[in-house]
Amino acid sequence: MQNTIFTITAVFLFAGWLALEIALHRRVLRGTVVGIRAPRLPLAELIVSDLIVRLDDGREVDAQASGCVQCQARFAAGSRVALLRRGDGYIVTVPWLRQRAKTCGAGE
Amino acid sequence: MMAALGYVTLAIFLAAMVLTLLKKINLPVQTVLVLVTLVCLLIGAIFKGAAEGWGAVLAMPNEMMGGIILHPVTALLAGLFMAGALSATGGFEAFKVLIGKLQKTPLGLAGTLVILIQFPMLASLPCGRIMAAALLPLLFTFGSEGGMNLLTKSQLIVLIGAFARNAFGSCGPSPIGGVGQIGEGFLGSYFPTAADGILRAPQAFALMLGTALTALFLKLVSQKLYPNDCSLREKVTGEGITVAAPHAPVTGYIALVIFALSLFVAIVQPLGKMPVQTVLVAAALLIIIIGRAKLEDLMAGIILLPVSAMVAGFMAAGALAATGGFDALGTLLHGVAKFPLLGAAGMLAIFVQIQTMIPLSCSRILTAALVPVLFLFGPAAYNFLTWEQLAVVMAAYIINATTSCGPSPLGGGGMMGEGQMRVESGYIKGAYTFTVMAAMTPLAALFMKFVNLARFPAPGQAFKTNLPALAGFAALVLVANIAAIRLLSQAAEPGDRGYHRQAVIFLATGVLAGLVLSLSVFGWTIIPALQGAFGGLLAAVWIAFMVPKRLLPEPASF
Repeated sequence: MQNTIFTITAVFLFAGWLALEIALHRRVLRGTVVGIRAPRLPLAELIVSDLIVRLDDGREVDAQASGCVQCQARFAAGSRVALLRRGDGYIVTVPWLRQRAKTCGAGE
Repeated sequence: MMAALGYVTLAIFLAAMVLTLLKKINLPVQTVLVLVTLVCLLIGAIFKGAAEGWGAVLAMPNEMMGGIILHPVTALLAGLFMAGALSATGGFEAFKVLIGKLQKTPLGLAGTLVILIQFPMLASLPCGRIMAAALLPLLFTFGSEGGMNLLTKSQLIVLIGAFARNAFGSCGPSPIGGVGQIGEGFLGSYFPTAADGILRAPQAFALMLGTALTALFLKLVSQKLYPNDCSLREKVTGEGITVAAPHAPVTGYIALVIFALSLFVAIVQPLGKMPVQTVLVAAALLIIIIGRAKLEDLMAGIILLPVSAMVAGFMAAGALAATGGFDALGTLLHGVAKFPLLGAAGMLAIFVQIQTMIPLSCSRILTAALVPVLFLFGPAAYNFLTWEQLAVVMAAYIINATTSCGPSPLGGGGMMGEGQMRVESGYIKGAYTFTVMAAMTPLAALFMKFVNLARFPAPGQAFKTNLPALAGFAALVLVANIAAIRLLSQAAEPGDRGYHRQAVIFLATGVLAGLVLSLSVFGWTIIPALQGAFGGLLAAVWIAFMVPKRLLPEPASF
């Protein structure tokens, strides 16, 4: 019984993870980083980076990348990013393809 | 021919990891890992096809899946699903409000700060970044920039550095997808109750004390080495509290209560034996329904963390398992253990430090690949170690691994903090590497030897808990560490002066760590003790190279 419950849970989780990746691929907006705002507080980039992103439809929006995402992806001006709308802002996700090199923590 | 395949895929994996660490491969870690997986499988298919025919090639996906340890992967996904649900329903906002109110209780400011620093470990989430993201804004408010103006610049540096140290090691003892569960899965083949958390307490014990030592190091050494490099503002005399009190929606409090209950049910199991993942998934679904979380909010909450990067680490490990990469590494280390100066003790003293030597952004990547190799050192293959000795080494290895994302130049907490503080590389990273190498690794080994072997007995074994021995040896390690920090503090001067004295003291603590590990594993025998000390010295030399002595525009190179 316990094994069955575990298997069902595992299938749900893996299916959910795949669905998340597919849904992200379908729902995300794409754009190019124009710049990275200087953080309002020291060390704030450990939590989140504020990016200025020009969407492919020409609009320029503010987006947030978590410290983890920012440092793994190493966004810089010119990097292509994928965004997801959340409330009145946008969240950046880790892309799968090429990034431009950038030192972590160096704001512009 | 098949043995050669293992060496080829192992070389590809290690080269890809080191080149990514050095930023020679300019791709996100998750992409590198998926590519490594595909390349390893492709090469494996060619080798196996040529040597054994199509049947062997068709069996590879199954072999790869068999090499992936399912329990920690699903627990990680469940934990991150829960984190996404909490984020989407305002759970972390409610958390901040509660912590803010804590300082008005008899605990006061000092008590609240101590709890805050250790809170990531207490919260038991599968990735420390979740709690770091939730609570770091609150920590800033205690300083001048944040508005409360309660702490000096020096105090704020210590607070943030120690908190981040605790957060970036808290993924180890987490029962919901923690890194330690990878090791527990392997130890479960001998210790029947290992999955209940045989590695949890040793890690928590080492992390708690290590966090305190990190605070001491930052206060006495880092600030003396780099007195003017931190851009945090000094406390302003006469300024009062100007920061607005945080607010949280009611759904956030409900989400927190459900989360706390689910943790209780998952750990204590009052409703009977139930998979941790199932409890978390049910609780997260409940939070989503009650909190009426929108799909976008939920997705945004989950993608704040690179789930795919963590899972990709397990995939790469599965590919290595299917192509004989683990066997190749085991054979290589077996050869190293035959080198007289090192022996098994010296090799193990290096092996337990290997993830601090190659710190990646998520420790799961290498842990998934290296724990199976460590398992081979036990009775399952090479017989260097008995099962009990393997458990002691595993405890040391896992705490070292889980804390390695802190000093990682690939998005580690120390690196991000240093970059933002505009301080010299090594400000936080030095403290992190020192405390994990010299204190946490041996402390976890001691706890396993004197306490947890008795609490998680194997059939036919009757170890007794020996608290006086744990207290005595732990005190010895702590006193040696505090003395080393004092000596480092005396040797510390801005610039390059005093560097060699600092290096000698740093290496001496590496020797101590290797010595303590050997004594914990092999008992009071001279030759393994000396070999362990020598192995500890070699590991410390490598780690010392990873902490640069002067300002660098890029992360340190080897």
